[in-house]
Amino acid sequence: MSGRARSWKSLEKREFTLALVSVLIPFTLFFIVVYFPQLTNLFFSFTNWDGYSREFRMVGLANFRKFFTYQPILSAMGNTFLFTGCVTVLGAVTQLGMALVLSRGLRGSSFFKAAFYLPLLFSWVVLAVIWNSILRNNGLLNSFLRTAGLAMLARDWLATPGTAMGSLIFLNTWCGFGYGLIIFLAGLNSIPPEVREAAAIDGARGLTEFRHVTLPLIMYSLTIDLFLGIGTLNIFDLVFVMTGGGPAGATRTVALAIYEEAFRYERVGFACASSLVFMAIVGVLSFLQVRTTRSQEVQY
Amino acid sequence: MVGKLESMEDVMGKRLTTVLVLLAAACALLFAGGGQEKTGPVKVSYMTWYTQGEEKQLLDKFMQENPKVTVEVEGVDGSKYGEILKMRMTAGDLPDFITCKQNFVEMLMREGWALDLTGEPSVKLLDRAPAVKEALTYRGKIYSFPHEAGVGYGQMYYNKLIFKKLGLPVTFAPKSIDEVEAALDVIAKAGVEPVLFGAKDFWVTGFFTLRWFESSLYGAIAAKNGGKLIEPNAAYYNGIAKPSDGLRFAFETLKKWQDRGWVSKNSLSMTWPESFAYFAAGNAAVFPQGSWVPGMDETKNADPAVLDLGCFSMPQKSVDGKNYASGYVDKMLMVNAKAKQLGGAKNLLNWMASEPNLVYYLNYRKMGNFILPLSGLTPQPVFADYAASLKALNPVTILTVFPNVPGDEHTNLGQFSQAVLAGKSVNEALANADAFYLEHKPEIKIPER
Repeated sequence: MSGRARSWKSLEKREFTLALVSVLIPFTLFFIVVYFPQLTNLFFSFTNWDGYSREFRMVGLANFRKFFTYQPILSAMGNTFLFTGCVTVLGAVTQLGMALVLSRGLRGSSFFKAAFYLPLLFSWVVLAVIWNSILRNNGLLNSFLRTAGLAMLARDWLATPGTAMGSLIFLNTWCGFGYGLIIFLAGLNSIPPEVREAAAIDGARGLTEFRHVTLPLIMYSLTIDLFLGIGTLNIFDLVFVMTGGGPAGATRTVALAIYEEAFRYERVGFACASSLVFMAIVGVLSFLQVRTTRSQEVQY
Repeated sequence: MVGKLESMEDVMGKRLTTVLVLLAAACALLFAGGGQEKTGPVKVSYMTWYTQGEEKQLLDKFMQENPKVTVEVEGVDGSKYGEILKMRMTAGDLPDFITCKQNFVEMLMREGWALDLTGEPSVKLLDRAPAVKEALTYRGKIYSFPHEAGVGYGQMYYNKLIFKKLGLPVTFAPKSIDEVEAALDVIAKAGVEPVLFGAKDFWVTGFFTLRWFESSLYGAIAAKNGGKLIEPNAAYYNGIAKPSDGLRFAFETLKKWQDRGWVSKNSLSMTWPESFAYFAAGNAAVFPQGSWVPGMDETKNADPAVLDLGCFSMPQKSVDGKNYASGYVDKMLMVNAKAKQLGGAKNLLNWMASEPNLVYYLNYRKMGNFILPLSGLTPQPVFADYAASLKALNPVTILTVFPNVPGDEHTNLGQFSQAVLAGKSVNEALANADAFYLEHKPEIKIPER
């Protein structure tokens, strides 16, 4: 009996050790890859470290204060909010609109669902390089416009401040279109048919039905879609590849500005602080958005 | 039952042992160094900004003469070179042998990564130009050797076929900027793209505004210094002048060219490599760029039916009857003081920096111009007119060594000249350049001499 009990205790001990080792390994990796860099980031945000020197000084909250007064960062904030606002609204409207069309089960809707999802299978950097060659002054788009007798519409889409931002907004909306479409389709498909029938019986059709029946019932899809839209505040890759923040800083976003501060201008301390402040701003905005839209959600 | 429990214990024990063995193997793989073999061929790692194999011919020659040494080249895009160099240094992962600009040599020197080359055979060549040697000396020691360095203004390459077709002089050696602008006007009116920049890369217009107008730059700065010549960066640092003082003429010229349609509309959406390929395909008339153009594949392989390359020197605005130019060192060679293959890297440096191999390199790269006097350097036909106009200008050469703001000077200032092409006014662009300099001035590190 005592021998069996000792065996069980020994077995439990081994199981516990095995479990501990199994948890410790991924946790250690996670700590090294995720938490440690964040803690390092926090530390250096209070310094004037240039990114490579062995010497640096503590500067207190100076870097954090600078974020709110430094013109290039403030200008980048303006660009970023403009970009995200347009992408989020334009994306939601077009994705929901297309979802409403495709949810009617029309012929070919499966093909279109696949076609709209296709860009998501590619790296956004690859897509940006391709669109670069389309949108440049001697690119495919202008060649097409000139051939079609629409030369007055041809312009250097990426080199004019207004159209450069517009091009980025269009491309980001196009790239992420399939993702939002799937989310809204899932929401629309989850509305019970009897709810629509009841609404129809009560005389609700078209816009009235959409406003009072469909929209409240898919609000949770909108919550997710808008939440993802706010995530574009961190946009970097498209801008880096397509415009580099130009022309004349017209498309410089906060993420790109932080990159430049760290790696071009050797102000890693300031870049660390900026990234933390911006993370807080994004967090607050996300919280407010989710809270607002969730309060509108209705469940049947 | 006891037998069954024992086998379960064995199973658990085996599982634990298996996990630990796998973990140990993973750690061994992860941390296994790329250490060199103690015997056998030596591998010297070399980081350079040349990504199109521009140095392959030279390195192949080295490896033929040194069969026991293999040079592993890591080409890094020039526009990101400084950033990657800094990251590698921070990670303690620099290669044995490095190409870089002088400001990065100073950075590596400060952090203890640059090997003292003072006693090396290659450094003796610097005795031929004491001013150059002095510029490269820090507290009596030398840490780098120039590999591409010259004097004079940036080159204005032009396509002789286009000039001929439009009735412009095929041997174009303008004596004034007015002559250049008259030619550009003819080109633009003929519907041909006049001046092409790869302006999507900031450094291209930065390079142009800094290096093509040097006489006016020095003159403007000297005017702020009571008529005495002073290195522009030193003037900015000491508050004697602002960047806008030195750059105004260059920016105004660029703006004027843009407004008159003398700058190709493709400039802003092209990177430097794209613009080079576009020019080499015969699509633009004039291409301001550096001395490396004739030696690159795009030029060497260009269809002679579309490109016949010529070169002239940008006429200068004289100051009190004199023209001033910078001696510039674009590419330096240095050895990592903590190199795994220190001996191999030193041998490579001494070999590349020896006069015969230096001349070999400059000749096959068709550079034709070096900051030290060398025997056997072949004047390049394409630079014949450039050299003649430079001789006619007879500039006073000033070696620029005072540091600018951290990073690459051309890139940092190029964002403001690019803005001029994008439609910003000259005053606004220059004001931004001044503000930028003041903002980043505290980060300037002046090396001890």
